[in-house]
Amino acid sequence: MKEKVKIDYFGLSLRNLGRHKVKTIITLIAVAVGVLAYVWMDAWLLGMNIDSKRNLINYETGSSKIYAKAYFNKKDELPMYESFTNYQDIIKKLNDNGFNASPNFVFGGSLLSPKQEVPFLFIGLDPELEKKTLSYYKFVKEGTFVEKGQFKILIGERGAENLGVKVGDSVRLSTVIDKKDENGKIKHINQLIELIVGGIVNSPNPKTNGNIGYLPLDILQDEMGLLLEGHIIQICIRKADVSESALPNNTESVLKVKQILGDTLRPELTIVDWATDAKDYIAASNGDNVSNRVMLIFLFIIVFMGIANTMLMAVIERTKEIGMLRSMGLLDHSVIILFLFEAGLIGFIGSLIGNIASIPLNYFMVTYGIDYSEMAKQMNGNFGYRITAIFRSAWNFHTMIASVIICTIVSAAMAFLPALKAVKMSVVETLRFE
Amino acid sequence: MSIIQTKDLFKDYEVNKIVVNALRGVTIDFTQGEFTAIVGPSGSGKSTLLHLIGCLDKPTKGDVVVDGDSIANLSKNELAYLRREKIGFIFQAYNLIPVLTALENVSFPLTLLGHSPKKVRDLSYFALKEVGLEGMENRRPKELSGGQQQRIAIARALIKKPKLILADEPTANLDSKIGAEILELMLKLNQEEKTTFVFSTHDKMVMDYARRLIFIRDGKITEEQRK
Repeated sequence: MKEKVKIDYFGLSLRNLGRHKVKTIITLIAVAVGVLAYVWMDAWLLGMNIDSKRNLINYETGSSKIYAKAYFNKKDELPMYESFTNYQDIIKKLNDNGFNASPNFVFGGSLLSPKQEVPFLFIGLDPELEKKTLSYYKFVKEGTFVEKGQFKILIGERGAENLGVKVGDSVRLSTVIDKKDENGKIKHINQLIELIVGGIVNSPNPKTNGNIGYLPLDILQDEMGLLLEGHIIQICIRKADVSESALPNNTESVLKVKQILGDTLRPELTIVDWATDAKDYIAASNGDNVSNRVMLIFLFIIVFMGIANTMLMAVIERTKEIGMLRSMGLLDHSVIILFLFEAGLIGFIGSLIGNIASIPLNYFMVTYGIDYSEMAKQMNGNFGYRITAIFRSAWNFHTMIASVIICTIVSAAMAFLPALKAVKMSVVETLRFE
Repeated sequence: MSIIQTKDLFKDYEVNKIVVNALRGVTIDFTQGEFTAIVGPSGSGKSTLLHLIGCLDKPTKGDVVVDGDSIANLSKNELAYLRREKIGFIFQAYNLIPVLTALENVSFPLTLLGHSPKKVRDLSYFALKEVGLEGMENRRPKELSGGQQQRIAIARALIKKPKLILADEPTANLDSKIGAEILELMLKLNQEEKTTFVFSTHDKMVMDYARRLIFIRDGKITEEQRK
């Protein structure tokens, strides 16, 4: 026999929730607070991730990079001897196909001022091509951007503070040139380069503002520089006509760039996307996402346990009533559905309230954000995210809708065991229950 | 015509690992239109017998035949359908749903039978009028007296015009004046609708109203009287 009756589960559940208004309100508040925290945290992480990605791509990596395969495999060691040359045809082909490309020579060393010696990362660049590809030149706070042929260095603001220098001061670059000889043996040559601080940069990406120095590639070519003789470490790539606020899409994917370059991309070279290149950011972002979500899962476990407890109490309190309903012919599964509806309604209404409450909070976070510049400064910008000052949220309507659906389903599921307990007893036992 | 037959009915319970023989071979018939009281002291087995003939429980041994249907081989759901269609219950503690109005409480059995909302509403108004609660349709149980609540319970049991109404100590929570009114009402409905009423009681007043008395002690029928 199949049940053909249409019971107004919704209406009954709604009225049952009104039996103990205070208890219902407390449970609803718990769900709402849990959802509010979740939606807020999710929007915040999403906002930080979007801003970080933009800042990373616009000011640090471009949408993709070309390296020598041998270099990329041990990139963290900065092995300057794994450089490559004859890159001009690559840049030309990319330019011809609507891409900007900037050749860099990346190397480590230290920068010395009369007061301090500080470890630095240096990037040799072609100013014109760099300005077309990356946008941190717009954030030169004092002095000027890198200029061709000038023994001037643009340094990050924090790096300048660490060194105790300002624009116009003299600094000395100290590094070790690692060069392969004809037999493949690596030679080490100590080198000192006298430079003037030409500018100080403070972009929204903390990596550009730390112990980092940008200098013209052309001065590094001969014995006054690094004996590069046309060698570079990497080429940063970005599509020419894209907006700074846009994240890379398929039109500038690694596959697309590979197709454009064809045989020009020699077998010893590799092309990687920005995410593969910025592993530290991806690791920090994933780590934060996981830890924050684990924290929220614990919060939700407490909330859902509260719902389970509320439903258990409801079942105990209404055992006799359930017996009466069953004696009138209400089927066991209808009794279970009734309780699932009731708990599901708590989850639905609670999560709806949480979402509604999150709207003004998220509006503030999306529009104004929170200024964490002091914290970022104290951490020297080394916390993975590529944000320096204001951390903004981003609307995530998927999460908002999903939180209502999931909360409703999980809350309903929380009532299953208490409801099952109610129908496991015989009708007579439930009628006699005191 | 026999509406209920019990055949050599046994029911054992286990209480704290001790088996209690609540019924020991009860065989009895109830015909349509009876107004019968099962009488006995506490623990005699009268409520157990009422539960078995109300299809709320299954016997350990023996069988109950309700309006031609044997319950021995029925599933839980089939028993529920049988109760839904053929049996009405009136409880000592009324057992109304506190969040529903008088009208909604009365209409619940009809909703379970799948009647149209209009029919449910019309019949519910009529049933409340029948038990003298006209004008109180929208009151909640807590806004009504014990006697009025029991009247709702009677209307709820009667509304689907069942073959059998089982009443477990229906006057136990009422004073004698209200109890008499309730019994008068049930007797009137019994005579008008020819509905079979079976009570379990040890109330003298109920015994006075009943047309047939079945005395039970230690799980066995000891005596039967017809008036």
